[in-house]
Amino acid sequence: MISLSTKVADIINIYPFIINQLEYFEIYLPIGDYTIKNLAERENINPEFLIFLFEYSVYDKISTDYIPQIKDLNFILTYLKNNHKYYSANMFPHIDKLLQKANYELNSDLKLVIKFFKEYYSEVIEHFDYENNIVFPYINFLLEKSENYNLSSNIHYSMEEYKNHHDDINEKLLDLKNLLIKYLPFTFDSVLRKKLLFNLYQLEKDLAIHSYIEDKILIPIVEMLENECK
Amino acid sequence: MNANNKITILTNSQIIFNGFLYILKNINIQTDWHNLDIANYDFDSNTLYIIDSILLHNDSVIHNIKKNSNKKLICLQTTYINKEILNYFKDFITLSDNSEVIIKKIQNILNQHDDNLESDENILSDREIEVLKLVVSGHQNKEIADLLNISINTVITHRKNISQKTGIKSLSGLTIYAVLKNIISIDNIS
Repeated sequence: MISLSTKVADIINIYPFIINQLEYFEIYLPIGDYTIKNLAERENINPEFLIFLFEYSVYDKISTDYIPQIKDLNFILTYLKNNHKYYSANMFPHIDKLLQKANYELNSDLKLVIKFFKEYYSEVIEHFDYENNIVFPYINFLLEKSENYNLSSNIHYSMEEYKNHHDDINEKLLDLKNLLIKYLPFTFDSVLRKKLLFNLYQLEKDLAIHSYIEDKILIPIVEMLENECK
Repeated sequence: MNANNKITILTNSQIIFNGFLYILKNINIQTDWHNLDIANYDFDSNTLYIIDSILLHNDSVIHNIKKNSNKKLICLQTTYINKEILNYFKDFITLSDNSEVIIKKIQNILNQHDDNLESDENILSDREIEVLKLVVSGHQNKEIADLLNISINTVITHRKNISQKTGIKSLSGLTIYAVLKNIISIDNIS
């Protein structure tokens, strides 16, 4: 169980990938003996949100104690933006490099996998670009407007539209995993296969949390904000 | 695939052996080189043998190859060899084959013994394979329905079953699946 008094270092000890989650908030190690409560105070983050995030990451369990609220928007946006940055600057180039390293002139199967991964990659990047260029500016505008009601703009956008645009980016990732697990022949470099799979698992988990935050936390909060600004 | 699998190259030529080592360097399988007496050799069923045709010079050698034709034997055609003898082999490699072709041929033979990778309930039916071929070559549901003389709903059901059985949903994923299973040729896709 993770609670307000749980030490963040203890969570990292059982599940080191939490370090990524912390970095999305721009929190870096060392973390000393900070508890979730202390850390949340220091960073101005709702501690219930941290508990939700850690429980989801470590146990795949969704804590129901966290209730989305408008004042949390700031750190949630920081989290999502850094999350986007991490994929495009770090995670994807890393997987790409793994694929390039293999001597693939010899293996047409591998060429297909690389092509498939690139397709997937550009789909995800497109999804991020859309959020970075349209959704986040819209949210920023709403935030400003909630402070200054007279603010006018020609932005014609709503969360309703976002929901429609927010399609499933997970399908190709699962396909890629299944190809590696079930079908790519024995002769496919086994070290590369393993590295790819481990990276894809990490990506899948990370994206699941990401999507959950967008769908179940960001959208409801922004809808509240929309109502306030009406 | 059995971890005991290995490849043995039977040739007198260092050039040929080193060539194979180079081509197979990305394949995780132990490869060695023997210069053994083929006429009296008891071929191991876990090993894939690539046999230089120049060694098939007398009747007792050919007789032993024939006796072992159920084993994983590939003929490396460095000399002229008659068709009947070639039939004792699972496949043959020529000196003009490129690396990709050679790997594919070896892979196919190693995978032949892997039929039980898929459980019966997950093997695609002939009809599903037909639908899959059309799907990955870019046909829309409506076109597939017309071509196969079935309703669109039936096409959709087939597609659903294909994805359920294979675990693969996207068009690009299914294309790779179809290539790996030799349902379509890699040349058919751009």
